Amino acid sequence: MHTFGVSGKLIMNVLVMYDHQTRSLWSQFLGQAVKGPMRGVKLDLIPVTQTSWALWMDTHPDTLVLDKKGGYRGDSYRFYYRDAEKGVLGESNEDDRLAPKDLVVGVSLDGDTKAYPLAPLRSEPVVNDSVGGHDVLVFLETNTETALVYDRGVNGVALTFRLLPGGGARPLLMDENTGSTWMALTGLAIDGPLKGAALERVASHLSFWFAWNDWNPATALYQPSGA
Amino acid sequence: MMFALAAVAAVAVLLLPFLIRLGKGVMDVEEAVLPDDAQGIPGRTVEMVTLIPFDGIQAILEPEFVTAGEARVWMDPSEQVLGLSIGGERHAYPISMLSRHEIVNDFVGGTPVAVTW
Repeated sequence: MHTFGVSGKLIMNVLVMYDHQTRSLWSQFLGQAVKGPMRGVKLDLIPVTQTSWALWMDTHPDTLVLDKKGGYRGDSYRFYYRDAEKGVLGESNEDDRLAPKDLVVGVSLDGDTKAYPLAPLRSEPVVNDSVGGHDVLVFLETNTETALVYDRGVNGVALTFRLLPGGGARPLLMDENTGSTWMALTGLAIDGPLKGAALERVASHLSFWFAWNDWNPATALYQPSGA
Repeated sequence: MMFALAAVAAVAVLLLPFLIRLGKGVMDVEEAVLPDDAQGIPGRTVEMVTLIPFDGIQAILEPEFVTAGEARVWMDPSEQVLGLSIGGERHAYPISMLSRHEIVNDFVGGTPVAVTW
């Protein structure tokens, strides 16, 4: 097992970590060592949920919370998220399909990369798509801008989902194949023939467009139907 | 004379990115070759820029946790968190902590993880 610290270095504006055991340098974006004895070794990427405290607590009431010990309220980068600065070092690859600071949900599967801009997801929050030969479901909870990506293959069938009206703070999906009802935020089927089934999460990356395309110059960009 | 001016201008233009970086406190620039990707496509050579010394930002090595009930007192409902769920265990990391420490070394459901921002 390795433990990680902050190297103080950046590659294309993104954190470079080091491990205390070998002092190899690891790219956060790749999850992979780029220098030192561990070069080439890749960490498993585990899906996380970036959301509001209220929504996380509602869906996971048994959660533990990292103790802030009375410190810190705001986010020290809060101005950076909105201003025009492209990282500390500027961008490496200019791709004007979107504005540099537009947020995208990035998915990378078996060598294929695709970016789903938040803007169209706000009006069309359920996308049935495929990346790298994997059938994926992209969902955006619009009040908190919580983006979740699932593998929509269940029992060997790629299900097609749509949003059910009236879910409120606990949005519901229905698959058109079986008519089962699913909790969008947890991926659990709660009613219908597939009740009890669970969709598997796919790790995704909420990123500024400039950073996503710096790291993935060949990325595909999701175009909403009718656009 | 014209040539000399043009040359000075060209040098100034070439130096400009470096001068801008110096202004931003860059300590060092070195090359790093990214590893080949899973398909065997060779990794690009990129610049790795040193802005601050090792551990200039302190990663968390021994995180301490409280229950949701306790955290309720000081967490704002709209505050952003990263939530992680492994093997039936769930941990929430306030973004305000992640953005100041960048890395939390933790165990969730028995899995050693580095949660990074």
